[in-house]
Amino acid sequence: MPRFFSNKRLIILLVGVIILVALIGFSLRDRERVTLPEQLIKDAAGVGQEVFSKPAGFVSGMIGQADLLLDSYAENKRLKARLADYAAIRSEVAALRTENEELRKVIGKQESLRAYNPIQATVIGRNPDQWEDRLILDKGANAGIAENMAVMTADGLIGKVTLVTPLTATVELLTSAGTDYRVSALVQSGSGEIHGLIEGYDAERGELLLKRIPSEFDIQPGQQVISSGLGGIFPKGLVIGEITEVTTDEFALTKMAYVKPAAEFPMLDHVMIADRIAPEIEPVELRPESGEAAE
Amino acid sequence: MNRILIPFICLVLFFIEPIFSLFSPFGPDGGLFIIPRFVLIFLMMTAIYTDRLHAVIWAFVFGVMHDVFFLDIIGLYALLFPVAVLAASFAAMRADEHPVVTSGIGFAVLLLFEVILYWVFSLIGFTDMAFGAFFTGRLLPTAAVNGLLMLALAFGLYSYEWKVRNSRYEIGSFR
Repeated sequence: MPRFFSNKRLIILLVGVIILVALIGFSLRDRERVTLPEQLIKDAAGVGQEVFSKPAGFVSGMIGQADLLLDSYAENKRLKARLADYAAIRSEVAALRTENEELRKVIGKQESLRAYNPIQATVIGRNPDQWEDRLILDKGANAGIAENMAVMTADGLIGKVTLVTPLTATVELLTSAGTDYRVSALVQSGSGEIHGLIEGYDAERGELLLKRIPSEFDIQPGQQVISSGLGGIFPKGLVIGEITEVTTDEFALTKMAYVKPAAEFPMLDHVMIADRIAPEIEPVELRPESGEAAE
Repeated sequence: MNRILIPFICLVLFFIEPIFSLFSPFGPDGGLFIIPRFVLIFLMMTAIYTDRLHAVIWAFVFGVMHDVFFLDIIGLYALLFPVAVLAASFAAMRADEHPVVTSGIGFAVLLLFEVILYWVFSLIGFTDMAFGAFFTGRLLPTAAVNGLLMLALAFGLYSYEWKVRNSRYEIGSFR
């Protein structure tokens, strides 16, 4: 049998393996911020990635536009039918907006949970091994993005920012199995607002789980779910999705609903980051080692 | 193959990988994942046919880059990439040089690589996918697509090496 390694090489190899395993252990801990070398690599790779992603995005945009052109006849028909409603709704919105402003003045309330500054960003990459659903954006701390900000598309909420470097930002999607964050949500029903928490994602159904809905409230499939703004980070009113099925929780104390996400997750290229104007509340530590358990 | 060419090709493949998954029509909704492993299969074939030492070094470098850029777990790919490349090239040393044989070896290493990653990620709680779903939804499509690419790459490198060797004999230079 041929000898692959001399003794010296074997020792070097073993030491290398031990160092790497130690590094894995170090980086698996929940770190507050990325270290400087990591930041440098991330920024450099982000710039390089942009060079490749921008032309690819351009081509895919062209194909998408050609697709739109083919659909435009049927779409036009549908939109014309809606246009009649649109004028009526617009005048109603304008009236409500002025009324809202007046009422705000009356009660002296300046900040709204709904208000946010949108920051536009382009997705330059998706984690190739999609174990964790992550996106990498072409803008970072220099553009005003900070950790924990909500990320959405024109259709609805998709996730939150987990890491920022000066030039890139990493987004963890709602569909990610490893997430330990919850989104405070509310169901818009006829009788008022019903609160719940978006916790987890059912990969087989492709739907989010809305849990902890008090069982005395009546919710129906088809009702819309939006972010409540009470979690302290996300602004209020971001569309999350639509309820498809209502069941009871595992202990039958609260209700649970399946929510079909409004945003489309497979193809994401342009996203918007919501920089909430109302003061942010520090996120509550949910990890058990911090002394208090999650619940 | 030129030594300087290896990192350049790797860099291009490294940047193509996330674009592939960004615009891939398969995604979480269809339940089918094709994970691009272009850097890994390129380095495995390079190690088998041309330059093992450099392939392993670059496997480590690109493993670190993958860890930092995509994963934020440093050391996982940095460990598995070089090990996979080494394993493939050592296995190929005792086997035939034919592209079908070498890409078969690469295919086996790739399968092992994916299974180990699945095991690690379910251990640290990144995924709760059952093994059956993983096998049909991720392992088979990934291995099929990357395996075909690897076969094409092996044929290319094999014929290139063969040409280089022949031209050496034609000139008649002794080394």
